[in-house]
Amino acid sequence: MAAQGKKEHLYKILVIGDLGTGKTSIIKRYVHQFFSPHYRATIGVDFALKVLNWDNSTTIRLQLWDIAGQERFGNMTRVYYKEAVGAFVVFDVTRLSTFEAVQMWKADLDNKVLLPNGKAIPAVLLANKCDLASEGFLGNINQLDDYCREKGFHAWFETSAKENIGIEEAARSLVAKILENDETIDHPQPDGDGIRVGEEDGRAPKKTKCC
Amino acid sequence: MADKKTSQAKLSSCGSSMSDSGASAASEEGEEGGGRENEKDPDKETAARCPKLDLVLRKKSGGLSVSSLDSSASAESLLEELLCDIRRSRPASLASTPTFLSCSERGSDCETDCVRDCGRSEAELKGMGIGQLRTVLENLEHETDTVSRLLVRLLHVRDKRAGRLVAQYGKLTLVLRHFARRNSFPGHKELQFTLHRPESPDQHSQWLAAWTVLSQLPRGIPKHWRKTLWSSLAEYGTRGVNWTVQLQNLFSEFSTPEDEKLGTQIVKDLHRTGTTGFSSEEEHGVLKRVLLAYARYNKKTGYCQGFNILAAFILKVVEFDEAMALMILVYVVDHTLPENYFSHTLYALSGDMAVFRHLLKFYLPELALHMETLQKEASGTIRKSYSSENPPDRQSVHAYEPPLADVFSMQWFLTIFASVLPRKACRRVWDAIFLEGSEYVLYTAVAILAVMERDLLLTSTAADFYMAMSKLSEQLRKAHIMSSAEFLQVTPP
Repeated sequence: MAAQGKKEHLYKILVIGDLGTGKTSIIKRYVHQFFSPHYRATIGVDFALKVLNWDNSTTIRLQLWDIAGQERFGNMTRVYYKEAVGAFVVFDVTRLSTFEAVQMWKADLDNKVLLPNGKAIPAVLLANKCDLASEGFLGNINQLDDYCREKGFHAWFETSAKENIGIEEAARSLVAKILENDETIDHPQPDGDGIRVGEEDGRAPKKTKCC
Repeated sequence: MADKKTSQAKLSSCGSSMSDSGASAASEEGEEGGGRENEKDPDKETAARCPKLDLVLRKKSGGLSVSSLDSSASAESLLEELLCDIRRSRPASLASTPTFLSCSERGSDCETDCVRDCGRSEAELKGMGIGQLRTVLENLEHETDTVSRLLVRLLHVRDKRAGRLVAQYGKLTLVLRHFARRNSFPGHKELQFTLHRPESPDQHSQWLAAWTVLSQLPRGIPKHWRKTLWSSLAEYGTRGVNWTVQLQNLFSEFSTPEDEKLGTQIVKDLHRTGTTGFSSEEEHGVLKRVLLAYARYNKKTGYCQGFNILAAFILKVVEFDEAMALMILVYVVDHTLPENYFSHTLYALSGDMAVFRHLLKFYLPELALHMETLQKEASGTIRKSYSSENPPDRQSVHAYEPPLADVFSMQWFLTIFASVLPRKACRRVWDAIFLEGSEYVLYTAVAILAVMERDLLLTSTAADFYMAMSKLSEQLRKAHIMSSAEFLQVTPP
């Protein structure tokens, strides 16, 4: 198992977004450093594991859950949201409809899973296929900063699974945020009795899930 | 049989084709003996065009009487009459079969050709002396005679082949009965093999039994017969649907806004079927049309991801026959698998996934227990950081891990294994599902895990398990773990 004094974290991360936005490609690029235009459409859910040597004393195992983009799978895939601590929401910069769906995916995410402290799990927005951006609809992609603040995204990145752009950075940003959350959530409970209070910031959890 | 058909055809109108039974008889021979065109066309084309020609010629010849036209109404002379009409028009190319056929094959052009090539206009004939006319008549009679003999010979060949085919069916039936008896297959005495599905309900069950036994032979159904079987079953299974009317609407080029929306989803998945060889624009076009036609046919289900994989798989079997592929897709989705497998919240699918987990406990208890243990452990470890000084405190973590089998069974069932089994094995699994029932979906899933059991027992965490499953599935699909034939020995457990 872990070497003396070495910390290991296991984090569950969701990758969501409309059909055909490149979720699987992003995961394959991130995990296998590989791109192919011929992936099979994800049916239901898929799983991938990425091991990160975060620093000398920390190893992070990311469980990436690739969730099918079609709406009808929602009920079948919702169990895979449980206990997730971070998410990538992906849209395709060449298709406006996939960007419009981002709101829906974010709301769905916040509705299905919350951190133990009742806050939304950190989500990073990925503007994928940026290598094709000239054909894209986003005239001024920088407006995304305001959009992210408004919709509660931790950050956004332009990515291209094909050209390997932005994916590492996005992942690092999300993991850093997750680690930060971990510190603040786990450590203020010195007796470790496992009771976590959802209302610590005065906001009641939107929806309590019983597992 | 052939004579009767010819005279029937003579009565029918100019452009009509053969009756259904005639067409299928001809295609049976095509399957069996090759030479399908040779045998089908002369008969069909002659019959189809004759009445008009007859009139034209009578008019052109200015009432010239040709003896064979006036002969008695016996079947044989009727046939000769037909031939006479056709042959009269092509004196130069007489006894040569290829020319004769090329004339028939050219279809609509032929008629005008024939009339033009007739060679002798009314005026020309009128200008001839009696001796010349006699020569013309003699020539015509000779030509007529030659061609009618050729046609009769071809018809004999066809009948002989049909007879041989029946005899072959008989032999195959005996073999199948023997195999069925040895394997105590119920109802083995009644089974009766024919390639095409017979109409009567009694014969239908005999036919079905024969194909079921055939599918269980070590090498299963011959590859080139599968198309016939699947389409026959689909036609029978969807017999309430008026396909003649439906197909026209479903494949209509006219596109509604609803279609546009569906189209965007479908287009995104066209190149993501995971099926090798589905790369050309043309193939994508066919696939798109089939998927859109299905969505139009069943608006409630519409397009479900996974249909792209199913349709691509079916299209390969039916050699890209769109209409046939659609019928089979409808048969699979709406008539073979439970309702709501692909629609609404997919609750029939989750039902099958639950049943599958129970079957695992029964058939592969060791693996089922192992998977349950991993699931429980994962529920205790997720999102908990730990180190050697600070071991995870299971009590304090409320994690959740869904049953490990679900990720994979969901994919397998939604694609009916086209995403995980090598194509050959998958085709045979579909044969079994069609012929013996959709429970074969569940048995096949158990068989797949049985194949992987040894490797899966070595996994030590849920994540390990998922990774191992992904790898093993990929290896299985590429037939690296075992060949299709070997896999089929595993089914049913």
